[in-house]
Amino acid sequence: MTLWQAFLIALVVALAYLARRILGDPQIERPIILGPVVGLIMGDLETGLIVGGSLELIFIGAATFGGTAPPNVAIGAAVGTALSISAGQGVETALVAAVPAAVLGTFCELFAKTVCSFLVHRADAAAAQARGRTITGIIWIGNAIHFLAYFVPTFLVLQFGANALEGVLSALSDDVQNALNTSAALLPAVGFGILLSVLYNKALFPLFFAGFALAAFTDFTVIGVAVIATAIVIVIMRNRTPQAPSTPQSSALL
Amino acid sequence: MTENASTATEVLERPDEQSREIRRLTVRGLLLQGGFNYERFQNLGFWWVMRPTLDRLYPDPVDRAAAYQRHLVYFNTNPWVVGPIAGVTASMEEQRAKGATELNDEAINSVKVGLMAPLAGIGDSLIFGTIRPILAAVCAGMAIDGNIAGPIIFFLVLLAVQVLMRIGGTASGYRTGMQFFEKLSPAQIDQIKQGATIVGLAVTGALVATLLDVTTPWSYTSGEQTIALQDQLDLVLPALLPLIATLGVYVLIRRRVSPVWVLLGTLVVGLVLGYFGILA
Repeated sequence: MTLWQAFLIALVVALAYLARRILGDPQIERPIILGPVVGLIMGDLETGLIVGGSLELIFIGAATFGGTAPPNVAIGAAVGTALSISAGQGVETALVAAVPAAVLGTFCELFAKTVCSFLVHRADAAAAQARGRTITGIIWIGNAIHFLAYFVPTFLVLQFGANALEGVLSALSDDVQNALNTSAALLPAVGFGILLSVLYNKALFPLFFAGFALAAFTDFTVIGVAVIATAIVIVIMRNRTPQAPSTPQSSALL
Repeated sequence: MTENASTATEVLERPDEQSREIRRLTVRGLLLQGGFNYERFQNLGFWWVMRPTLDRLYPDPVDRAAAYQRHLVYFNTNPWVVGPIAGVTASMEEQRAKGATELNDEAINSVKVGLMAPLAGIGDSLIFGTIRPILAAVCAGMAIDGNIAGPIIFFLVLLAVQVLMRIGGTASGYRTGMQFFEKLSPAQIDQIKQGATIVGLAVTGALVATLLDVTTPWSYTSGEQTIALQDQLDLVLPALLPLIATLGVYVLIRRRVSPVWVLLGTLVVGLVLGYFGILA
């Protein structure tokens, strides 16, 4: 990996994250988007697409709910894709490289959000004097901190991680390679499990098993199950008056 | 507008002025998460959304300072649903500047808080719990086949959903103002969330059954025959192992184990079980 490739990839990751801050959270830091973009920079779009799609499945349920810190999918996807292409390795390697990177990357966001807490008091002081320009300036300092908290670590990992990973990979035996494949196959369970806990609702939980059974015993695809579930929802809604007493809801999402 | 417009409160009465205000709130809403911090979350971003409205309504420095401080308090919601909240808040500030004294700091903040939590619930379950996973499952499948249309469709569909939610949300919030609460009763909010949850749960079940490829290579001999354990499992319940793995993760997350640890743990468990040939 050249210096420029590492620089460009880090820039793309940091900008995609910045879009969550200042461009309405358009979800461009998802692996399915970053994978192919990183693949293009590395000169292998095909691998980028495959790795991006596979990582998207692993992290399908990972999202920031109520300010929690999920695994950092952006840094994980970019590092996993870039390192696997530069090492000439397959998808499984990319997935397994992406997980530690995503875990370490969690601290990037924590760091930025914590540092920005100090800025809030500056903003309070400026507000007391109605100095709007100062508050705007503070917001942009905050955005710069968020940007750098992603850019710097990603660049460093790409610049110095590639050689180390290649060394490790070349020493792997077939047994370990099998273990990697198994791990890669198992990892999407994490995304699905997180998704389940996000959607948690005691009364409705059996519907998870209904969707599972429909797809497990028949040839129904995900879209097919979604269509049936949507149709059921529409029927239920129509048969219910809007004033119907509300059932207790989990507050986990709030 | 009078001669001393620069020092007087400008209240928007004309429809075209109101439309411009709605557009401005919508566009500014994109920066809601700017300067995100752990002390008050999206407070800086929400102030930025409201700033032009506050500047217009409160030319007097003392009033303006109070308004700035009023909107630097804790704020946190799903970023795609900020539209209605910004719209209602701007409309309340408008009423207050016109002389509605009952709209004190507390009243305005309680409406904001009353909207941000339920709307975040809708946004999170609808977008992150339902729409995005369905879309991701389909588009990731295409990407894994090497089809560039996967990421492009993913991006465009989410963009369209977001734009519609933002534009429609701000306009309805601004135009209905305080009555937005009555328009969107808690029962209705519950209903929307429940609908999204139903689809989301069923889809998650389908995802587990179709996209999680965990099997066991174990076999045992019974008399002359060698019987593969996986074949036996498939007779009971296809995709049993994926179901167990997912429910295991789910139980850990519900018990408040950090997702980061669960991810690392799953990686290690996968490596160990794969190394010893228990799973494949």
